[in-house]
Amino acid sequence: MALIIIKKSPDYQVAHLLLEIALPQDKVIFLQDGVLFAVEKDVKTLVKDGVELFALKEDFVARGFDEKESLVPLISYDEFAEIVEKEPKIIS
Amino acid sequence: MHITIQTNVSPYTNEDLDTAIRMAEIFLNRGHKVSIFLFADSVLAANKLVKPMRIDRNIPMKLQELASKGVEVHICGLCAEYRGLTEEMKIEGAKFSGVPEMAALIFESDRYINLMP
Repeated sequence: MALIIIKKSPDYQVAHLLLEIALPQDKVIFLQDGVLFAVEKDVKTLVKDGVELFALKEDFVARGFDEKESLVPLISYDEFAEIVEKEPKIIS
Repeated sequence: MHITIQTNVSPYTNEDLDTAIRMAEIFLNRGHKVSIFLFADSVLAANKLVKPMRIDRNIPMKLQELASKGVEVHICGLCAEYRGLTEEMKIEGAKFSGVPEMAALIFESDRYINLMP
């Protein structure tokens, strides 16, 4: 299991590559401009089944979105830290 | 748990330093040992002469505050020399370091978050 951190917007190929390498049971957290993935209609089809997707609430709201607009669960920085504590392998 | 965050890009132009500072605050509050490694252009964040507009955040001072709370702030020494950052200019509490120290941090830290460019 790994934690994959994506901070680039969907315009960047590297962000899509990171989504492609995610394996079932991995967790993906979108932060910075990566949170734009949270409003992509097909975001869940970009990863394999069993990959958990999250977006950082602070960065999502900072970009003018309403929390209700996110298609993936929004997490606080504390929840982000909890995931980091659980996942020894971090890919970014 | 020892958590290290590496940054690589310049402050203000990019958001990574803000993210790293936010993460460091949270990890520190949760009782972890935190190190920040400033690599390449991100060493510019350790220059105490940086003078942002009054309404803006002062990234070097935020790093200095974190250092005063026990966060290890490493500055890549060679990167600093390339950018003219001297001992007199650096924020208090930060230390000039290098790639061997970075390797040690990668090896010794329980978690290593590299905010890749």
